[in-house]
Amino acid sequence: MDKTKEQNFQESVRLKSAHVKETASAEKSVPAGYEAFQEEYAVDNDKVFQKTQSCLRKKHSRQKKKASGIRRYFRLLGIYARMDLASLTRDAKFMAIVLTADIVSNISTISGIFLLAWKFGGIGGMDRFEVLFMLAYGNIVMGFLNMMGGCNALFPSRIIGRGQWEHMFIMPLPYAVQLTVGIFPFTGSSSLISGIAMLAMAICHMEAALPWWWPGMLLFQLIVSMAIVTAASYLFSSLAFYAPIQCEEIASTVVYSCDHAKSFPLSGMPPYIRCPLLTIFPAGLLAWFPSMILLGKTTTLQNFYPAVFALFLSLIAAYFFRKGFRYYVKKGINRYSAGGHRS
Amino acid sequence: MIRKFGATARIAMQTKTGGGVLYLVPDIVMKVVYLVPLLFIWRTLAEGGYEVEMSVSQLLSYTYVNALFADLTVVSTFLSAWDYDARSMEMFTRPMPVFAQIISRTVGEWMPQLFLFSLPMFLAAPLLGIRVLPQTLWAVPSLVLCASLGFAFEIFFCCITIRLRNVSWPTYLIRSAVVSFFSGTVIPFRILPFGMDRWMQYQPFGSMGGAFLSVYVGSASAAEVIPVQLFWNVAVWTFAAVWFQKSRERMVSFGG
Repeated sequence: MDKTKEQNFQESVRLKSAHVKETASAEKSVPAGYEAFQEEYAVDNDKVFQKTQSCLRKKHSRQKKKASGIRRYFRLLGIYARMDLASLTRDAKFMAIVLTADIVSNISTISGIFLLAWKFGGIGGMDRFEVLFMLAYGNIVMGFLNMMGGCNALFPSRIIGRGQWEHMFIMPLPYAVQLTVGIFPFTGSSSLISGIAMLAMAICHMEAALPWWWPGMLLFQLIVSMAIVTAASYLFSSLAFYAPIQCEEIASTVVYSCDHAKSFPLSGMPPYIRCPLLTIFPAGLLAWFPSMILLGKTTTLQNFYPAVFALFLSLIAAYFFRKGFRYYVKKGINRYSAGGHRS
Repeated sequence: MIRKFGATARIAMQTKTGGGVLYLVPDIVMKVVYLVPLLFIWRTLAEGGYEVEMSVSQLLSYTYVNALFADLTVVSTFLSAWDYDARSMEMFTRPMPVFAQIISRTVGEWMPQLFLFSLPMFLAAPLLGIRVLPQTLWAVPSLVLCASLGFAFEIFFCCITIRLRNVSWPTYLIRSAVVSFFSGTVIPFRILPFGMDRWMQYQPFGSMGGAFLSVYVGSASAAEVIPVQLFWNVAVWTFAAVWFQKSRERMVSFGG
């Protein structure tokens, strides 16, 4: 019995040791932390899958939002346009007066300088139709801005000075959308339309053949000129954050002065007059200088000047406007009396 | 009455400078910016050898004097502004005639620009080689008639605004057109092509700034200009006063 027990014990020890050896050899063949790695690998796969799904969902949602945002933007433009048409056609007498005022105003804006050019066969090296081209270009620039900036987007100092920027905080739309949807295509486009008509007339009377890329260049120069006016307006409007009452109308002073001074053909004027009008007070960049570029009367290097200037001015305007805005957020503006009137 | 007139003018002047004199600087700068290129256009034309009906010195004086007296040559009062704060209504609650209030207030509003811009520019004119003294003393009554006609047109345009239920924007546009072309303050009638000078000086707006400036620089005789100015003053004042009496009960104002 004892012998049998001993044999059994030895057999069990042998089997155990064999098992241990087997296990040890098996353990040796699997790298350390393999299971953890496997687990980790499996979890990563899930995460990657989840992340991919989430990104796709977000992208899709963003695309939907973007598409709906663009749709909404155009819908808002349409609403403003309908309101503008309704305001124009509400009364036949009113419509007649508005149209007459527009025609008289547009004729008088350009007639003085053009009649001078007509009488003297041109001014300062520009012939009659080149002067007309310049006047038309200026009309298109200001006409488009007036049409798009109906809700004081072109005159932000009014919005700031009147404490109306705070109204924009609660609107569920970005500032840029709120500022640019206020389009007045029926009551505010006369200058743009007359500008386009005059431009067509001037081009028809020009002797030089225009290259194929010329319309693109015209469009680019128009955008640059508009950027310059807008940037100048926003730069000076930054002052309204600090002095709201005094600077409420500073944007209109800047824009209207540019508008009046843009009609002067600077050809033939001395450099000490021309340079300030192309730098400090850039009225020359709204009509005269771009017209010179489009008529091929500038050097290649000069052609880049308006775009570089627009970029520089826009950056400065953005910096000072943000700085002023931070001040405004802290201090606020209290212009309204209890009765609803502005102080 | 004179004391009331003076007090109203003083208050109006103080409202212009109440925010500080710095508030007036942008307007002054912009006037200079607008004036300088226009002066150089005449010089450019002169250097180009063009024959003009007026001499270069006359043209320079014309433009320069127009800048000095811009507020008087084309009058603009608070009646043309948007009637936000019932300002036109307030006139009827004060113990002073309405027209006297309009005139005294506007004259008061002219003063800061006259002292801060016109006077220094007048004194600086000889340094720039520009003659600013009038060719004849008839320029003084001509200026008075010009400003008077400007007030009459203001009341006339105010009536249009009342009748059209406060459409201030078209009124402003038409006024701007008058300023830039029909009054002859920017381009003298004498140098317009197609013989336009013959009829432009006889239209009612022509008796405003253009008429005064022509007498001032000596490009037109006072005997020719002042009777026309007198005629238009009588005609437009009569019409405007009667129309204002009839229109005032239709006045509507709004806050905001």
